[in-house]
Amino acid sequence: MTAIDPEEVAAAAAPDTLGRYLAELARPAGEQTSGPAPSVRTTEHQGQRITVTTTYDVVVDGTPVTAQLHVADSGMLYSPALPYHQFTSALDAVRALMSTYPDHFGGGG
Amino acid sequence: MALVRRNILHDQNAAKKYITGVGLLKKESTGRTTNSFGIPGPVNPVYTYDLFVIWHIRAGMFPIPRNGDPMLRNYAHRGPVFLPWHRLMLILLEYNIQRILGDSSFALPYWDWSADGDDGSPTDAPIWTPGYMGGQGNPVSDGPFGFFPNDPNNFTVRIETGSDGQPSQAGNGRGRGLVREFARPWPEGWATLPTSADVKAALEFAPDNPNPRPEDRYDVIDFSVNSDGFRSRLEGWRPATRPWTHNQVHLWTGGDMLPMSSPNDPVFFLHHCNVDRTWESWLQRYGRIYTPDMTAPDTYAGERIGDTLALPASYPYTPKDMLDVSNWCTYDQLP
Ligand SMILES: [Cu+2]
Repeated sequence: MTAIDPEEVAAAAAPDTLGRYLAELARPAGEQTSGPAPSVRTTEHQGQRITVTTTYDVVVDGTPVTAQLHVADSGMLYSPALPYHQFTSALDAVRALMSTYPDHFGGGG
Repeated sequence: MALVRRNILHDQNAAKKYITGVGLLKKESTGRTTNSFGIPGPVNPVYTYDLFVIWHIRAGMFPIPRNGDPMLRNYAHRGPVFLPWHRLMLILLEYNIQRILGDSSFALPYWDWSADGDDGSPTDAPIWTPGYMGGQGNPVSDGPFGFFPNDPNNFTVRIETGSDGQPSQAGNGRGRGLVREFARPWPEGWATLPTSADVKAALEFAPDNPNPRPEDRYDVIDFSVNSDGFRSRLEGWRPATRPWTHNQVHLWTGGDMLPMSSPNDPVFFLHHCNVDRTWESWLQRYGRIYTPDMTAPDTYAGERIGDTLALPASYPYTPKDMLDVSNWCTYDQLP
C-alpha cells in the first residue's frame, strides 16, 4: 500500500521546488510556434495510407488572426486558448475565441 | 490524522482560512520573476499562488506522447492522468495554505456545484456571495477577490494566456481584476451547471462491451478526448454532443475559468476539489484501479500508472501514488 508522506509533500510543495522546476521547463524555448499549425490526420483504408492536412485561415474584419484551431480524427475542433471547449463548427470556435479574447481581435465588441 | 475536506457552505471556518490563505499566497514573493519562467513582457515578480497558474499552463502544453498534440492528450488533461494530476495539484496547494497560515489542520473545502445545478443554476447562489467567492463581473467587484479602484490590496490577475494558449502578462504587466461571466450561452459558455443526476451518470458509467476488464470503466484506448469512460465523462468530453461536468463548470463560470490559466480564479480549487471527491467515490465503489498500466506503449508515456506526473523528477509521484491518499485526506461525504 502506498501512502502520502507529509515530508515529501512539504518538499514537493515548497515554492522554491515548484519555482525551480517551472523555470527549467521554460528554458527549452524555440519550441514555441507561432501562427496556425496544420492538423494532420492519417489512417489506413483497404491497405492504402490516407493523410488529410487541414489549416484554418481565419480572417476577422479583413485581418488574418493567429487563432489556433486543431481538428481531431473525430472531426471535432479544439483550440489551446479554450481548453475546456470542443466544437463541431469552426465559426462557433472563432465566435468563442473572440468573446474570450476581445483584445486579440481588435476588440470590436 | 487525515484531513477532512468539507462542503464550503457547511464549514465557515475552512472558507475563511481558504480566503485568507489564498490572499497570503498571492502576496508571497517566490524571488523569481516572469523572466525566469520565459513569460514575455516587463520583468515582474512572481508570487507563490501564481506558480500554480504557470504550472497548470505548462502541464497543459506538454503533449502525450512527447512529439504529439497537446489538444489530443497532455500531462494534465484529456486523458486518464487528468484525475491523478489534479489530485496532486490540490494537495500541493492545500499544503501551501497550511504552511502560510501555520495551521496544519487546514483542509481544502469543496464547492458542490451539482447542488446549484439541481437548484436551477442560480447566479446568486450562496457560493457567489461576498462572504464566499464574491459574484460575477468584469472585473469582479465584490467579495474577497474583487477589484476596487485604487486599493493596493486588490486581488490581481497577473499571468494569463493569449489566444495562442501561451503564457503572457495580464494588463501588459500591470495586472487586472478577476473576470467571471456566468451562464453565457454556447459557444461562449454554457447556461447551466451539472446536476446530481449528471454526476450519478458518470459514476455509474459501464462500458458497452461484452467482456470488460474492471479498469475499462475508468478509461480505454486511445486514452484521450475521444475515449469513453468515467474519466472522460467526469472531465466532460463524452458524449461529445455538449460540455459536461468538469468542463461544463468551467464554461458556466466563464471569464478567467475559460483559458488554461483558470487557476487564477480561486473557485478553481474548490471546483477541482469536488471533481476529486467524485473520483474518490468512484475509487471506493469499484476499487483503487487505473489504466493504462506499464505494458501500454510509449504513445502513452506520461499517462501510465507508474509514469511520473509532471513534477520535479526528485519527487516522482505517479498516478499509482494518487490512487489512495486516505492517509492525507478524506471527504465528509461522497456523491
Ligand atoms: Cu486543469
